Amino acid sequence: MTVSVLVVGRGPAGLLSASYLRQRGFDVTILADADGTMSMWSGDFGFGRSADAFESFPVKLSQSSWVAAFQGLVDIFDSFGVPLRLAPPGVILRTVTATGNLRPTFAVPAWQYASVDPEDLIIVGIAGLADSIADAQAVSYRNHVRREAIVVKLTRPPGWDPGWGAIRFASYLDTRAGLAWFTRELGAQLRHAPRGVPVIVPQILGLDTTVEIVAHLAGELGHPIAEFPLLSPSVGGVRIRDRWERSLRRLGVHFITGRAQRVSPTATAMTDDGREFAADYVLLATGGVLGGGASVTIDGAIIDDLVNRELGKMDDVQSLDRVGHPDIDCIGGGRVLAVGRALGGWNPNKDHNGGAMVLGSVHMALSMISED
Amino acid sequence: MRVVVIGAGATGLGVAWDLALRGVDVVVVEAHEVGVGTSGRFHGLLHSGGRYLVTDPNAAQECYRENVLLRVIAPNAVVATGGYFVKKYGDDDNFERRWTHQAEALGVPIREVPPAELRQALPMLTPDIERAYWVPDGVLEGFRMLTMLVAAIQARGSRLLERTRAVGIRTESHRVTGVEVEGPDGHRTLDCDAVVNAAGPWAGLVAHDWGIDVKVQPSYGLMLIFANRRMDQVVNRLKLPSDGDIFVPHQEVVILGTTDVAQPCPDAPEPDRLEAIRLMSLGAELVPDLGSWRVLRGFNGVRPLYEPSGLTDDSRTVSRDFAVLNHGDRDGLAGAFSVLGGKWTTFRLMGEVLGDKLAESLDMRLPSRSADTVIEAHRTTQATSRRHPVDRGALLCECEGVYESDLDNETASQTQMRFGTWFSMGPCQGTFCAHRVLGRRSAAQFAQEMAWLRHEREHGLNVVGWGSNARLIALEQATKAQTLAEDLS
Repeated sequence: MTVSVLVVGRGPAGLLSASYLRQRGFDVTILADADGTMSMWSGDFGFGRSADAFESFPVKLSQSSWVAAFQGLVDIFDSFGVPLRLAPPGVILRTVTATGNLRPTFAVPAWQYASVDPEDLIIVGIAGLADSIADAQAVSYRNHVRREAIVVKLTRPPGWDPGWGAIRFASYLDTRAGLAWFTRELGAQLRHAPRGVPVIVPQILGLDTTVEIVAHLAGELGHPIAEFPLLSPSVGGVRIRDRWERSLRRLGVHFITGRAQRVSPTATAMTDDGREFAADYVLLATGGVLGGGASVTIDGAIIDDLVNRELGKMDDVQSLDRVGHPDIDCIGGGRVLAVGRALGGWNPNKDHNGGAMVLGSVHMALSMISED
Repeated sequence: MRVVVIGAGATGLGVAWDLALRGVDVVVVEAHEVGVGTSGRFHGLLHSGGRYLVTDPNAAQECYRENVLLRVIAPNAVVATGGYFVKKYGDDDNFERRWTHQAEALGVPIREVPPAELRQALPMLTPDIERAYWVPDGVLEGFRMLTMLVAAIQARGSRLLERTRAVGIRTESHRVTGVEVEGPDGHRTLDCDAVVNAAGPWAGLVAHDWGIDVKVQPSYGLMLIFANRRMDQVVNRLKLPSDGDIFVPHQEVVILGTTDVAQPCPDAPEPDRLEAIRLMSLGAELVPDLGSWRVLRGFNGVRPLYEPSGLTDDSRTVSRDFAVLNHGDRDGLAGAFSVLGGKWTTFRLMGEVLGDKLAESLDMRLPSRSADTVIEAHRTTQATSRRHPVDRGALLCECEGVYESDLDNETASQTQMRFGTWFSMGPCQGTFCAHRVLGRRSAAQFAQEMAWLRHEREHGLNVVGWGSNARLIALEQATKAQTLAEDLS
């Protein structure tokens, strides 16, 4: 008999769970409301600040399991057309943020800039794009790594108006005219730039044809070219979400739109409009306070309303530190499991390990389900 | 004649404006940035005097007079919303009798409003209201008024020096001849004929530097800002002024005030979550559904109350009236003055009274003109200037509608720019716009300006971290720590 799993939530943890479960032949249904948090995420998987994070990590997997997990991740992303770049063994990749800071990561989509060692960069500023602050970004970058950051600036594209956000820019670059404009303008700006120096651009290189755009630009301009992510709604997250969900539907995962209101220890979920869904297991991938899976009461208690559990309190400095379930088996009985970036008292904002928390917790949940 | 004014809040700018209109050459020195003290941290009430009818008749009368005047001379910064005093069943009948009696005696117009009319105007109020009165309360848009005052005094040739701290005075035979300042250009002396201490809650410290004892009684009050303008009139509780008994609609938000806690030091303390919760429950006595309103942030303002007899524990009993001290008469230091206490509503009057004393002491006939001179709307504070844009550039702050072209005044401090544009003050509290705006202001100062603004926004946000606001805090923390990796910088 096929084992059925109901995944609540369609952020990174929910989709990743669905992928792995489907691979292993489970009957998978995703129950989620309309939003999901994919657009808050640009696609990189943080693994902590240092390469020895395997040892101290709260999700206990053997090193070989971690390696296998990451390889599985690469395969899944490959299957829907998003090539991932993994950090080589024992080192951490660093990405550059829109404000010129460095952020540790372990796996990033190949379209995103990441490097092991700091290097000289050419930063592209784009007029008319609110998040593009190349001059300030370059100053921060230089201060952090003591390497050069050359700024080049593009003027606004034809047809631009003040309502153009990153997503509008990206869909313009998907067009033939948009790509021609960008290639021409950037080429002109790079004419006197030192050849071969990597070029980083705001994350606007298309929604549908990004991989092709990056290859095209690298060929035309004679520079490696990659993006740095902008704020939510993130073009990177939207790209991944669209490809990933399409692929999951193709693989036979059921999507149900609805807001879960209560999940029982016997793995039954009820929605706020009164529908009931029974399964062998429920995975809660509801994303803590940020994802909407937990709420904070006026006196500071953090509550998972679905299972009616208090997860913690806002701490002394009133920061939302402990927002996840203490255990994956979140209400006992082993049929309702919590996955996601915040678990076991760890804070992915402080520890930069949100990606690995997602990956590790999904694997642990998977092994608990598979063992039964 | 040249006068140095210490402090660029409502008091100092009110003094500077009055003096500038008399033809005095004024230099305002501000240790931080315009309005970062009490003037940028208040609930926005343009007092009708109603609040002080019983406890502080003198302040009530002055408030009403200035309220009427400001509508004429600063129409761009005040809104005549009107307000209500509401008495719940069980509130003190005797207080109500004294209040209506005082209104008549002092000439503050009030009008009893039938409960049905009140319910129509303010349906969110508790049904337990026995009687209600309309009063001519209004809203004083502090940020806009400060911006207008800065522009107005600069247009008359006076100067404002921000990030410039007065560190001492120079005297000759017991007369002030200059003010020592430290600022971006280092240490220097500003020659002057008189100096005015208008440092609000810090006035006691400034006087102390002069070797003079002035009893300022700072008292802080917590206020909460709610998203959306859910009411169009001010609402006061008709009883002895107390905590959590006033709601003020301010532009697109509503502000609930306030607590009143005496403190020894002039700096505003960090807002406290337990105090915010207490304020919420007090506010719910008037608005039962308050718990479902989205609260944006909490902030503390410090009242610079003046207590001639010394420090007190019960700051509610300290007069809201103001005082002008001529330290020549009082302490033998000619040419030195202090303006103490008062309300935002009476800032102009404080300037006039100070100006009169100063002119009299220097034996000059310079009549005040501030009561009949309109304070012009500053260019960037004029809503109409946004209607015919040439090219506004990219939209940087979606909440408050701030475009690249609104950042054209490069010399303005961050605070001035925020007061002028309201960027970072909307529902996202700067989560999405801080780097966009500050990154365009100055690449070199970017990191410091970001850190400062994030800190400033967060401590107002965290204190009200519940409900949907908690989710915004989570988004702010993730954006800062993850997307932008600011904590690793």
